[in-house]
Amino acid sequence: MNATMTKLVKKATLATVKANHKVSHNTYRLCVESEKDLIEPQPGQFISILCSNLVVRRPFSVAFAQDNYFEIIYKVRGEGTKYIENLKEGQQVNYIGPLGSAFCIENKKSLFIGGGVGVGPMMFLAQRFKEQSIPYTFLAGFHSNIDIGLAGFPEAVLITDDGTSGKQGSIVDYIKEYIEKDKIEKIYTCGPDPVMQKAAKIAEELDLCIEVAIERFFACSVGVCMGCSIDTKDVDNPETLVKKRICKHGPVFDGRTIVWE
Amino acid sequence: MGVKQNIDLSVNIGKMKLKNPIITASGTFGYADEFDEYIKVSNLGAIVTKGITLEPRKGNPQPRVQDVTNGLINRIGLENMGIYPFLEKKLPIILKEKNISFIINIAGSSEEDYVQLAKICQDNSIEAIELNLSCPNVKDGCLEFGKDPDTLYRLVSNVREAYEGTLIVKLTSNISYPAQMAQLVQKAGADAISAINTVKAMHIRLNYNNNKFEKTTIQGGLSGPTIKPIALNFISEIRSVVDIPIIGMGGITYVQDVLEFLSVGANAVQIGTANFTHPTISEQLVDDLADILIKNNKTSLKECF
Repeated sequence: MNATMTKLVKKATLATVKANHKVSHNTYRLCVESEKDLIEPQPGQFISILCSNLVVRRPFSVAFAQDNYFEIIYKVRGEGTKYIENLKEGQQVNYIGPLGSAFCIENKKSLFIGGGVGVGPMMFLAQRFKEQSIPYTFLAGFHSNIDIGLAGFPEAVLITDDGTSGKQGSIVDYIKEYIEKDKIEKIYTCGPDPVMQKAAKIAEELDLCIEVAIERFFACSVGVCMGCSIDTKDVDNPETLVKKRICKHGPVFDGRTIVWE
Repeated sequence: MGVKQNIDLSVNIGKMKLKNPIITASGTFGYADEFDEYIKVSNLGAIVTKGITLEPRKGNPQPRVQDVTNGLINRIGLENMGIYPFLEKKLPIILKEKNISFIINIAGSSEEDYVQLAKICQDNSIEAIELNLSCPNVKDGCLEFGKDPDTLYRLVSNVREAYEGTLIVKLTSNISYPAQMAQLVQKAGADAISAINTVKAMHIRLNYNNNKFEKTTIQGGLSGPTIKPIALNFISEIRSVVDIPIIGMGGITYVQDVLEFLSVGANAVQIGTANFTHPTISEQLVDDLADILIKNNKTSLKECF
């Protein structure tokens, strides 16, 4: 093994649970501290957690990281997340990461569009923007006020589908308005595909850069199973389709390159 | 972690001399460079590449993988870059790390494809190839070649004629007469048999919507610990009728699993789905195997079974 390889600590590593609590009726925040030195995750990157005896690890975007400490925001959806929900303070978590690509932070007035648990990585991105004093506008969309809870972000513009909190409607209905109002130069988004697809369309119309963080089910997290392979376009040559793997080339992509299903 | 001194784990498969019997299975280890961040790949016995075809393949649409109890169903559909880009782009990376034995897994949609791929491997001095005659996820061939005795015999014989290196034939358990097929593979001149490929399987998800069940189906190949008993039985059956080495696989996760496969007559093993669960597992198993030998006062794997 050469010198640069030994520096990497991506091996399956243990972390200790510091906290694991509900932030809304079906959303949780897991806070852990890694036992080994963590390569600091960047916004957009993910970690993959071994869930009990499940054959496939579960991937989660990092929602906050500092030194050896990091957090994920998750919804309980199936067996894997049920296992994570039951983790108690002091218990150990087997994870690999950070994995995948990160958002490219530029000194441009930016719009963050986070839908549901997609708000997590946007919060992390906002933290980095604040540290670098880059201005941003944060749109956080949820189905209903019971889904919120994550909104420890007073500056986020809350939007709920049913209008029970903040502005009413779909988050996509507010994208153009905020782009114009806040003279946005770049968009970052993480959320359901239809939201990101719409955001990408608007970005294209207005000739703005957009980065999207995509989620797909995969088996390996490390770029070999091809489970998460998607079609992407070459921006300069849109007729040419290129296969990219979410876990390796993504999860963050140039939004203009995605072929939405 | 590394190779333990004075413990001989070596095995011979055809013309290949492997430093140990731990091989990573096709489709679960990429082209090996992906794992450099996790393990020292050269500590492994060998690696098998992702299945490679003559022309690039885009594979199947999403969704492609579904985990089930103790297993995984995949329907990737052999997405790969094709043999020529592989030789140009990936092979130099594999060769750069000296001391790696690697096996190219080849798949075709016709008998001619296999022969041509074998010729290309021959021309490029590839040490070993594994014929994928058992992928359940492509419509045009592959699995079918491994099912019909006449086709299997003809195909393996023709590949044998075109290729001088170590020839391994990967069989599926989705056949009625494993012993007969294994004998034909040996008679056709293969150096080894690897088994089992994934088992045809289906996952159903039902959502109750608008007063009726909506069904989502994923059909593909099942792998993981759940197929281990099928694999052990398959290998045990074919061991009694062939003399050539058998590379066993199917759900191997722990060193006990490795020993079980060796005990039914496998000469080496492949690690597949477990690479997804634990990216460091293959190297760990080499180490664990050496430890077991030490613990039982053995100095060589050959003394064990």
